[in-house]
Amino acid sequence: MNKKILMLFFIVLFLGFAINSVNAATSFCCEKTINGAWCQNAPESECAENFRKVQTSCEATAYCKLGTCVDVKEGLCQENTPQRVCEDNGGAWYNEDKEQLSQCRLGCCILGNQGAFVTQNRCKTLASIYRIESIFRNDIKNQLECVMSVTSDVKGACVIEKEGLRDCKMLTQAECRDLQTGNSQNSGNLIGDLFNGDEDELEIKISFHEGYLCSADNLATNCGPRGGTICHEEKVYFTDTCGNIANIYDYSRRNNAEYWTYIVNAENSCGYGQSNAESRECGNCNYYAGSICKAYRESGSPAPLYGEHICADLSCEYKGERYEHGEVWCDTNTREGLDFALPGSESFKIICYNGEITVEPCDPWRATICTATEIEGFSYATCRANLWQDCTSQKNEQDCLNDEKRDCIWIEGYSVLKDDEGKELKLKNLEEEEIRASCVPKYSPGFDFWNSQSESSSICDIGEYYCVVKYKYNIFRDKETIEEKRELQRKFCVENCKCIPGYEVGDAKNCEKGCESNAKFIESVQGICGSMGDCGISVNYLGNEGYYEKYEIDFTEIE
Amino acid sequence: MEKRGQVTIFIILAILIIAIGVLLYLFYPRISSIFGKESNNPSAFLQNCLEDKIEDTIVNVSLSGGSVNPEHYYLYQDNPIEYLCYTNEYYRTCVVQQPMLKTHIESEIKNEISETVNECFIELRDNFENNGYDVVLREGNITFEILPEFVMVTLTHELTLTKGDSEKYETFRILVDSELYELIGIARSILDWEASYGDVETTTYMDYYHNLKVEKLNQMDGSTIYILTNRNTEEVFQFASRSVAWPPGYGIS
Repeated sequence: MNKKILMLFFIVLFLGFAINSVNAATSFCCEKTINGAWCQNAPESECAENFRKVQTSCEATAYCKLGTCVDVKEGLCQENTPQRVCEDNGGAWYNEDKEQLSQCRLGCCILGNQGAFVTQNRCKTLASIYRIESIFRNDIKNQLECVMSVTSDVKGACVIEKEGLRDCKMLTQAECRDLQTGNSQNSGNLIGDLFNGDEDELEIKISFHEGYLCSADNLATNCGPRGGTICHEEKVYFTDTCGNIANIYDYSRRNNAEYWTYIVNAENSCGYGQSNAESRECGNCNYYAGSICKAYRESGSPAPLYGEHICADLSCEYKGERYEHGEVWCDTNTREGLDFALPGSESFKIICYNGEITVEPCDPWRATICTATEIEGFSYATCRANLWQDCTSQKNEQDCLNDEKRDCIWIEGYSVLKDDEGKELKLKNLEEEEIRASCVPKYSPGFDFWNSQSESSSICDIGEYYCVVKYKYNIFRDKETIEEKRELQRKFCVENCKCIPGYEVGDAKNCEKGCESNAKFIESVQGICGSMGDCGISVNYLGNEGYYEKYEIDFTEIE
Repeated sequence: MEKRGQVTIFIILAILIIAIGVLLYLFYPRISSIFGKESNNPSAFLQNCLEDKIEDTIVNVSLSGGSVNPEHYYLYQDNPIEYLCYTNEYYRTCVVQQPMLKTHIESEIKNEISETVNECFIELRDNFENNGYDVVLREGNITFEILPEFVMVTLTHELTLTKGDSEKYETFRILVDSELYELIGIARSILDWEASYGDVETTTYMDYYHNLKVEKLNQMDGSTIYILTNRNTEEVFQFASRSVAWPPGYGIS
């Protein structure tokens, strides 16, 4: 009489920890914690002595209510500040958002030819720091409008004449006027510098020539053309022989008399709008296009055809590729990338600014992932939230692959969704057929699986796969004989032979169902299990293997 | 004859060296102060005496988030960095821990240098007394201010020096170049974002301030270390924040 033995192989990929039922400690609002943090919801044991604590959330307390802290002296407002923290530090605390406080309302603070979008108090503080008069305009509603509203004074040659000797400085009209009237704090120094300190005894005539350079022939000053180059406002400028800034360095116009007579703005200078990086002939550098003025010897750039300065290249090189200044792109710490997220793998924003690369990790546990877009070869990347949380609860392929709502993938093979009795639930594919498939995270989340309170086991358990292997036995090969020898298991199985470690196609002559190789089967199960998070058989991001058994095998006889 | 020629050359060289020495002593203030000329100038003496201490304190305070001895900190590469905004919870924005950052830093630096200020005044008094002056020193207040492009220590100590004539000093101002004011301003702005949204886009700051480098380093526990560097002066200000931290898994354990 043939008896059927049913032996159960419980294959549990990655044995996790038992779920620890953690009794969440009752939360108190600690005015200060023992580690020195103000106003935190924490267990009572973490509250510092001699500070207030109440068994409720901090939002419900008076002492830790968050409001706006106003630094009256500096004219600055800081939200999300507890009252005590604010007042202990000398601030004025208000139980309102800063938008509702008149002290925190922003406006345009005009200081000379500069504009700052700040509070009125801040405007007064800045005026006193810089010792200039300020105008506060609350009709201007944003930073850009504020900056645009400030018109800079016209520039030109300020000619200072004494006894036929004509010296010259490039100044604004107002600065030159101050020299004439002696209003400027620096006017005495300036004239003193020009005439070796004997200005008191001289009759000095000062005249302003709008739009002219000091090197203009018709001004007949003692300043001539071609005094060298200098870095000014991030561009390379010619200087005249008195050291005054002239026009933007343009080698082709170095001998052009007109170029040394009138002020030419950047728009009408060489290479406008381009970076002109490493150009030996043009100094119209552009920070946003990737260049800035530097002394060529310091920046390692080629020597310019004239002078000592050049538009230094701000681009970067990363892993053999060139990136422009301002480009941001993604990288990971594993060769496989995040599509095969291994424990410990992370994504990073790589940033090229000022010829220097900085690496900015996205949030840990792959909670955020780096995604890049490229416009005309210029890359920009951000760390965005990894929306993996509701993948496994999706019941059809369409919802699963809705990338506006979640980051999931669809894997056919078996379903991680179970009914109330623990039986596998089939999901609908795009053709509305019910099949064995799972919707799992595209970028599997990371877990602190080494931590006893970790959720890893509860999440990984969703990906558990139970495989029932059936054998036929008779008088010559009973249960005990088969249980002892793996090769007999592979030879005499009839169903789900794929679940027996090392099974190859054809090992069992009577296999009726589930007869593919064990290696192939493991690969498909691992695909689903590994996508649940740091679960399953895996190596970490460094390529090191884990410690735990891959399977749990149990033999049970079923009558 | 050859020997006489050599001697002449040596004499000429010696005269030249002495002349250069005298010129340097007279016209180069820093060198002259090293050799003791500051003993006639109390302000220069104090500047010399305090400058290094102020610079070192600024560096130390800047590297640890604005406090000499941070109370609540993240240990980053073995350095404690003060949390300026913090929440111990997941998914929530942080509670500002240091709303008056500039005032706090000014107070920290002032406290840290005050002992050295006293030592410098004692040294100053001894120095003048050794040079035959009668010295009357009355202790005053110390204020430390962080201003654009420099920091300023104001000492209202009253000093009277008498050696025949009498000179009275009532205020001493020590100025040290520093970009700390600008870095604190950026730190404050980042804290605003951290407290409101839990994150900040660092490139925005680097687009606006061309000589600024902002590094944002997320840590495993959800803390973020911000390192602000002035690319020109290489001055650094760094601080920690923990806001909208993401948990491992669902964060319900």
